[in-house]
Amino acid sequence: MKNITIALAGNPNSGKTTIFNKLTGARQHVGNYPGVTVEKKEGFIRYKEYEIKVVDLPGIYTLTAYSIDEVVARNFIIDEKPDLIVNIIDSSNLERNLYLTVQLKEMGIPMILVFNMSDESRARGYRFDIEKFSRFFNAPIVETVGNRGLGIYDLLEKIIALASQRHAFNNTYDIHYGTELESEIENIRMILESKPSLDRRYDLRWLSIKLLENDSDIIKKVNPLDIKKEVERSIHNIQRLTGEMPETIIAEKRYGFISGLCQKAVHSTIEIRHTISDKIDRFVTNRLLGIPIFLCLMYLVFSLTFRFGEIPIGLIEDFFKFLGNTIETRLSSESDNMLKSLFIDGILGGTGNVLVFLPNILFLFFAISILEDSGYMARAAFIMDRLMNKIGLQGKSFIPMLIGFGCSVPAILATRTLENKKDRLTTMLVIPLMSCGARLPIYTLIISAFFPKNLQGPMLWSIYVIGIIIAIFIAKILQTTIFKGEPVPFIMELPPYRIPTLRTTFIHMWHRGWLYLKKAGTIILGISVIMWAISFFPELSKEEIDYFENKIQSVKSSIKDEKEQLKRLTAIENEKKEKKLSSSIAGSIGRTIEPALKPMGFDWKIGTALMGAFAAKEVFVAQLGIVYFVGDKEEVSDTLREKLKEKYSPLVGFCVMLFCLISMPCMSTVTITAKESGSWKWAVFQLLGLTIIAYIITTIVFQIGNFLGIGMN
Amino acid sequence: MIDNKSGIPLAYIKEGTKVQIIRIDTNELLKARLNAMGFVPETPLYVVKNSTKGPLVISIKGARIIIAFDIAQNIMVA
Repeated sequence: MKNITIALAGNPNSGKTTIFNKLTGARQHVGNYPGVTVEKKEGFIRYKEYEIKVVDLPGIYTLTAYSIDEVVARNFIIDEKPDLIVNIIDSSNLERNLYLTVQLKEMGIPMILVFNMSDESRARGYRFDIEKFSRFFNAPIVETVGNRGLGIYDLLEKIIALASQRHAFNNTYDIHYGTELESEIENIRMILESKPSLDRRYDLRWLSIKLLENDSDIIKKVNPLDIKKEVERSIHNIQRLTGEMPETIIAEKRYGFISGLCQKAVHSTIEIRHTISDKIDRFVTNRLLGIPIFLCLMYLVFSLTFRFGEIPIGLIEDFFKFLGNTIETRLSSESDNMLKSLFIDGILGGTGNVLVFLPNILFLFFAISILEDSGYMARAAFIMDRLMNKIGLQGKSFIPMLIGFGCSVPAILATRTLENKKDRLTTMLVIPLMSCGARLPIYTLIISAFFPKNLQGPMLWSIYVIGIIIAIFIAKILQTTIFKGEPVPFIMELPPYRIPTLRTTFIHMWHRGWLYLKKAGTIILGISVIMWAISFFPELSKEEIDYFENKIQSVKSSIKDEKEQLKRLTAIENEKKEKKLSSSIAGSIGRTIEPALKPMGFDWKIGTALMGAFAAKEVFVAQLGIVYFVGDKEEVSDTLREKLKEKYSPLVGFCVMLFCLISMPCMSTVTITAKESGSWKWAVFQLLGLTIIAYIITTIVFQIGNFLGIGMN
Repeated sequence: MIDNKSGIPLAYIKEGTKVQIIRIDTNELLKARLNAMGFVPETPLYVVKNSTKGPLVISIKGARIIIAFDIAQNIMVA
């Protein structure tokens, strides 16, 4: 068994990932490059007597240090030294794709060129002289149609053929960058050669070219060699002699070479007409129709997600209930009470919180994958861009925010499409203000308890709108203060529309969903157990337990009517629960912070419920139910509503909703923010920031309302 | 070649017009990015979509690229 490592490099949208999936199938693994949030995708395939490790490098247009993707790809090639590079090229877009190819070639590693999407290029009338291309690049060439799996075996054959050629690889054709540039390249090359401390991994010509290109990453790397002056002199020379900067000339020469080559090696048999994509775009990006079409599609995505998600969610909930009941009956003795509670409330409850999201997330990801793979997302970003700019964000920010109305977790995951870190962070931080689905039970409970029928609809609507308005404000403030920076130059490629393959879409969906499960799941589980612990401990004292036990016994013996007995027993159980809650750590915390809650009109009971809500919103309603002796969740409805109405005023009700709206990103959200932003600092900033803002606003609203006598009982 | 090139910013070119790039006047990083996408002096392109102040859709080297209005203001064409 021979082991080789190959790297897949190519433009975004070149079909690289499809080929990666075809090669590695299920044997792939996604992680991160150390220290950065760029995805690292690796997989394996066994072919003949070879075990091939395939690394899918990030999609890039060039090897300059413009973005972290390019630096990561480049560093991988230099540091990890793959045995060969497979350059995936969208052959229907040849010239632009070859820009990367010529740079890869300059790195001096054995390479295979894959002319992918050859069905499309054929349809456009291109015919390639493969022989000529192969000679010019000194590389074997394979024609493929990635999404139909055509040419993959041919590719594998060429890979192992090249891998077994161990002789030295020589650059036959080097691009000639013009007399002035070439002489400076030679100057720098000689200086580099004279430096003994230079890392010999780098091809010297390549290094010289990069230095003249003003590549910031390479400049940093050769800093210790102290050749800054010489390089600057060379650049200045070139400018003086040609009137242009070296990097412009280099780019021109590269394209010149490519153009020349294509003129010799590409034949066009038919005229390029308006493609179907353009025709579709007439409608999709139309000034009037664009936004309505977009909104319809988004609505469809939501219906798909939440309607289809209901069934699996129901199944999962039933499963957990079943598990809970089984454990309940297995461990029935008093001494196992803690263990029982730990399992049911802590672990099952916690895992339940995680898994209950999963169907929705998977469906949402599926829908997003389809939109992305088909090419529509690029259009969506284009359409929403103008509107979002007014808030200081990009068009691409709109989609994560829209998803946030369903659930913050996939919404934050969706911000990955934003390349600019500042925009991405701003979007992530305000996503919790898009009231997620889990807050709905809270709103429903309070609105139905405090407001008359005719006001209920408008109330709900106003809560959502308030959320959006606050989000816009915060986004604007963030963008003008902490995240102040040059607005992102909006450049994006509009790929032609494509029919996505089901297999690729599923793989995309699954790998995003799995990431969420793995990371968020472990942390949420941990925090759930902690939340359980502070609500459980300290246990009731022996006297207290005996007191309740006595009460239960007396009811059982004195009251014969079954219905009455059940009612009384339930009441005692609830009293017991309330006592336990009140004397637990959570309850104590609730009572300690009560003075701080008073300015908002809250008491310790609401405080305790709020803490539970941090774990998951649904807990808020349940906790409130417990705190008011109101039985199980299903029976909550009327009785809890009545109790709330007695105890609090509509103003307080409104304030509770306001507070829940603005603060309370659930712990899943906080965890995901930490992971996606790369640091807990942002997650904490989000949590504290939102909570503080919530506190201030709610206090102001309550105090003013109180003062003016609005909404009082 | 000496600096005396005129040229109109790409931003003001009407839809459906074919032009050629003369020079790019943006900052270094952006220029590198534009280069990589095919925007290089003497490259022909045509404007697919250009509505007031919005991003433009350009057809260049066989691909469609969207660029923001203010970037297009710094690309000189003729």
